[in-house]
Amino acid sequence: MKRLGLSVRMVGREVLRHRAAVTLLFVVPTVLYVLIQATAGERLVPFQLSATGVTLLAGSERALSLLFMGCTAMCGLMAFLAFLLTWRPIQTDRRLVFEGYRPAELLWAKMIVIAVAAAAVAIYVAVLLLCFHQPSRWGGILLGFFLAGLLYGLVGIVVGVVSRSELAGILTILLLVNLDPGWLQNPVFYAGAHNRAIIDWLPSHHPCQLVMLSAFTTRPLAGEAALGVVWLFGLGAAAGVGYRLRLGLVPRRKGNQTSSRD
Amino acid sequence: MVGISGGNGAGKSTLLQILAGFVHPEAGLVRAAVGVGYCPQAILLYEQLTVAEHFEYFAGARAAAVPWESAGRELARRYRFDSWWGERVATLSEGTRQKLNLALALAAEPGLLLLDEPYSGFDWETYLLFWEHAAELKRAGRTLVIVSHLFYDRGKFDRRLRLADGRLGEERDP
Repeated sequence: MKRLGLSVRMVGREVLRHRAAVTLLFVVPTVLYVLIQATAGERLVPFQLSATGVTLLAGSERALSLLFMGCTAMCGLMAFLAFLLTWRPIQTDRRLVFEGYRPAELLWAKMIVIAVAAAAVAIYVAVLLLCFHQPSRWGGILLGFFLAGLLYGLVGIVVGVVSRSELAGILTILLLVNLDPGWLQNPVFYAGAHNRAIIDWLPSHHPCQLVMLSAFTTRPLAGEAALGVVWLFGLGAAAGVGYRLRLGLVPRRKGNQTSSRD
Repeated sequence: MVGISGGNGAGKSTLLQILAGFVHPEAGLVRAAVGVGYCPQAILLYEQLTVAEHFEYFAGARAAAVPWESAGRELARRYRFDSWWGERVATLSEGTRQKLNLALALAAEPGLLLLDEPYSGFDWETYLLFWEHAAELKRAGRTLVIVSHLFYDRGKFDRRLRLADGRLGEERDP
């Protein structure tokens, strides 16, 4: 626990000292929301949610854009932050494991810091939303934003451990964020989509559903939240396995330190 | 004190990485009866952490309470980078980063030190300081395995090995 605490402190300092990155975590959603406010109209747009079945809902174009872009921003920002904390430092992380840290301690430290950052940015985006739109269930929206950030933080770690080059990792994240939360989870697009199964099985699906359900319906949120948590466990396990494999250090035994391969 | 030399791409760094456990050997076994310290050829540090935080972070790996601050400051003084104690790595020169890279491997005071060209980037004075320190460590009973390609280092080793064509053999005087 002592080593985990120390790791959390160090990873936290690393994040806070990336001043440009920390500033962007708050500037990006602000710019997006100001632009939506300046450009989107109040026209009612029909849309559909997988969580409500065939029921067709209607919401103002501005409200839909604010909520949809809030989710997308959370996913993109947290994925890039997690990638920043994973890809570049991984060789130095190997050195720490050589010195005696457990890979799990280093990975948990990153995940805890990403969770704190996701909570801070989700609160900021949800509060900012209130300046432009008054949703019915604000708490559900906040939870959806937080879950979206957390899930894509784990996606960022997975991409960070599997990417061999930094550019490949950045482009992979751009592709995933554009495809999943940035396009396919748009509820307006969903209403006319031919293959909804693909959309339902993407990481940001349940957090986005949670946000839209909270804003436009009175239906219970627990189901979507629970499915989001299931995704968290799945992606967390993938991040753990990937990180362990990427560190790739030969295990040492106590006493005579031994490494071998048959 | 053992020196390992060899041409570019001979596998000197890979050999040290295998000995340290950083790379899986294709076959065989590595056994060490003492604690091992490893200074990689590449500078592996956290850009946003300070010199002091590096010593604290690395010392945290060891179970026993280690007086990391006094040990770290002593190494920083010895290698003349103590004035950067509170500075972030991102602001340090290449030479100072290399000093920290080496000092972190020395801080745990292991019985066996695997050092991969530890003084590349050092100025002449620090290079001499390194050899002075290496001699002290040897007198204290430590074993040092140093990858070196410098001709004038030859006289400093008790044993010189040359890696060529995947085989390690005694190096002969030219």
